[in-house]
Amino acid sequence: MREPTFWILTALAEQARHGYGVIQEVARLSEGQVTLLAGTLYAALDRLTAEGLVAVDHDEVVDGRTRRYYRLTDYGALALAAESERLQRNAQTATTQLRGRLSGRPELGPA
Amino acid sequence: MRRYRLLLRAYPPGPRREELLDTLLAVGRPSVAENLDLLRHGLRARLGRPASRWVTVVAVLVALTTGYAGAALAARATWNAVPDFPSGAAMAEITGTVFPGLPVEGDRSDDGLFLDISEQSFAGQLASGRNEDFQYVTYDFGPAGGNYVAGRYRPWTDAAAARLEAAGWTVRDVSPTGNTWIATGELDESGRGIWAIRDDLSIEFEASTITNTDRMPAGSFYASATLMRLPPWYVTAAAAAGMLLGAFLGWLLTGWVSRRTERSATAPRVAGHTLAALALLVTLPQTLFGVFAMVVEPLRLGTPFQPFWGMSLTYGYGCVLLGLLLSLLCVATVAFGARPATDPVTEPIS
Repeated sequence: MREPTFWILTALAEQARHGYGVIQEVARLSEGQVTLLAGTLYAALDRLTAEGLVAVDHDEVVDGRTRRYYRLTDYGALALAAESERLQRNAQTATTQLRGRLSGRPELGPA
Repeated sequence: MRRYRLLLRAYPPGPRREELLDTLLAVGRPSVAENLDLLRHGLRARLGRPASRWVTVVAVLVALTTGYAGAALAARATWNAVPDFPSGAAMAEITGTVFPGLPVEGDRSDDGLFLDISEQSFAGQLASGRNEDFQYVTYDFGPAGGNYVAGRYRPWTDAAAARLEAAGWTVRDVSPTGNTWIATGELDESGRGIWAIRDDLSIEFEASTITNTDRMPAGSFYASATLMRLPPWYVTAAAAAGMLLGAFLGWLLTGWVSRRTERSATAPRVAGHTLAALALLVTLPQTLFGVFAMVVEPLRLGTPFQPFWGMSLTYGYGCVLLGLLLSLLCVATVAFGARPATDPVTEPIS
């Protein structure tokens, strides 16, 4: 799973959001490290919808323009949970390795 | 907002444009990166099937084919505007530079722009396709009375190359000609060929001691020259513009077929896709060869040369007609057979 996809699914985990809402939430959750461009966001939303990870929730008309809300599907929640666990395992592995290095254990050479 | 609306036309018609506009106005950062991102993803959105990678591959191949067709047709159309061969004193200056002091005879290989050696009827072309015996019209000339020049060819070609340089021509190549020994691959030199260009003209001539007649006077050699027109800058520019336009239209057409069949009934979808695949299958080899020649030949020769790469298409050689027929059948099948169902992403919720 690519990083923008991960953050979009994460932004939708709690509640349904419209496009700008997703962009704002991703910027907040990533502490400003990820800034989604609108074209990229909607391409990802289209792809995730086609893959069943995201679904259209409802439409809202604001200032005469339709604002569409997207939500995470159950399948999307499962995929996000799996990705989250994978990232946690990776982070844990890196942390363990670093702990060994700091405790003065001899480093392993290349395989 | 007007700028955004213009940019959002990269996306297919539908509520997605308004949705994006709403988001863009909220974001409020019309950066270059944002614009390029919209253009890129808008063109991708035109293809539909957001989870598919194959549709992009197909669109690229179709765009290459229609781009090649656009380039070939544009080059062919603008070739009509290329100035004719020089005449009168201007032609005499050229023939006199190559064969000074000799009476010269010369003629065009044909009256038109191109020469079809086989001269097939249109019915014959439809039945069997054209063969490769076509070429751009040339002006061929040589010494009157059989193209014989008294003397030795080596000093004569050295002097001819020097005369051409002095007259403003750029001599691009002087190379030995003759038979090759099969056993060793060694060239048995019996003459020399020269290639020179000036402005939008190219001249090739050969001086050789080998002829197929026994009428050549002793102490002489055979010499003949061919004058060709090179494409001026506007032919190359038109070909490039035709390529871009053709590729763009091919991309849009692929998107239209893809989106229209994305959720249509099985029969028109399978029929449309099969016809499109067959059309690509029969036209792609010619496209790849033509595009390769279009790009590589000018680089190899170091100058824009006569666009032979386009003749396989504009002369109806190969599978052009079959490919065109299959493409039209595909478009007709999709236009009349496929009815797109509601798209849950881009259509309003009912």
